[in-house]
Amino acid sequence: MEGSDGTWIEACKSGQRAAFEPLVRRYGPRAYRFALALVRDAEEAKDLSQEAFIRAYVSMHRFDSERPFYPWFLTILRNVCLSHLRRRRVKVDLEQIPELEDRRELSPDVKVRVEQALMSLSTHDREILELKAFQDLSYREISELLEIPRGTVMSRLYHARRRFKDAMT
Amino acid sequence: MKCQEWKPLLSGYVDRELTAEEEDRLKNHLSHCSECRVDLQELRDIEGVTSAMKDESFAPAGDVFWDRYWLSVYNRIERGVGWLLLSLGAAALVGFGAWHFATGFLFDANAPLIVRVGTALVIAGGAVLVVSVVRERIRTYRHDPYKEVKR
Repeated sequence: MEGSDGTWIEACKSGQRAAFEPLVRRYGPRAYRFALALVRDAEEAKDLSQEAFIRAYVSMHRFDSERPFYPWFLTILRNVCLSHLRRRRVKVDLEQIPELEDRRELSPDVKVRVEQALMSLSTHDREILELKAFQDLSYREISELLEIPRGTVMSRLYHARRRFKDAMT
Repeated sequence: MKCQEWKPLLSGYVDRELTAEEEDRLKNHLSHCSECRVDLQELRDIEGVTSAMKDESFAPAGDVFWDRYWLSVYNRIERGVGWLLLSLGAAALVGFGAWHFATGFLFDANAPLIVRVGTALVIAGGAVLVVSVVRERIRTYRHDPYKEVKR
């Protein structure tokens, strides 16, 4: 569906629930991906990303439609996932890698190794790598989202990448 | 500056996130530090691998999945609105009933005093409990660090 986020957001604010659909369809895959990186469970990632969309919709009246939607939404999604992890308090082991059949055409070797290496990292490392490498956020956006200085973003990324490389070898 | 202190800047360099000044300083360091050059190359390799994976969505493909996904979000929003309306309506009706009960029964001189006093105490106790729970909920909500961040 065409149209800018701002247009849909304003329509949502005026009570048109259907206007939320383009936003969910546009950002759903990225949201699901981010949740999956944090909770490492396909079904939970789906539920939590949906929950974040619902909370975003309910809080929409507080959102300034001049601002980009996704970073704001990502803040909500991250909090939903962290709350869930805090409640779950389960140490996820490496066997809990999400089902591969849910994925789109993963070639056998390198991609599976990359995925397994990512999943073997701590949530802390996986989160920063996910935000930069897959969510395509700038350092400024990551810094705002995680509420850490830009230098810490760089440092966390550096160490996460080193550990990712170690996990790949 | 020690080699270890340059390392984070290598990530910034790979991501093209350094300022011109930071980049100049780092290049100057790289020109005479083979260890950091090797590190930089490895970071570039890692970035190359993750970039190649970027388009490989981990999210389930297919319109059916996303149709159901959206429908579920829509239905949950709709049910939330339904529950809110139901709760408000029920609260209004309960309030109305309680008011009529209180004014009609408690002040009815024909009803036995012990029953009226007992009923009044039950209502007062219930009210105290409700206020206490609501106050606790509000306090918990205000201090919950994980609630949505307002921007």
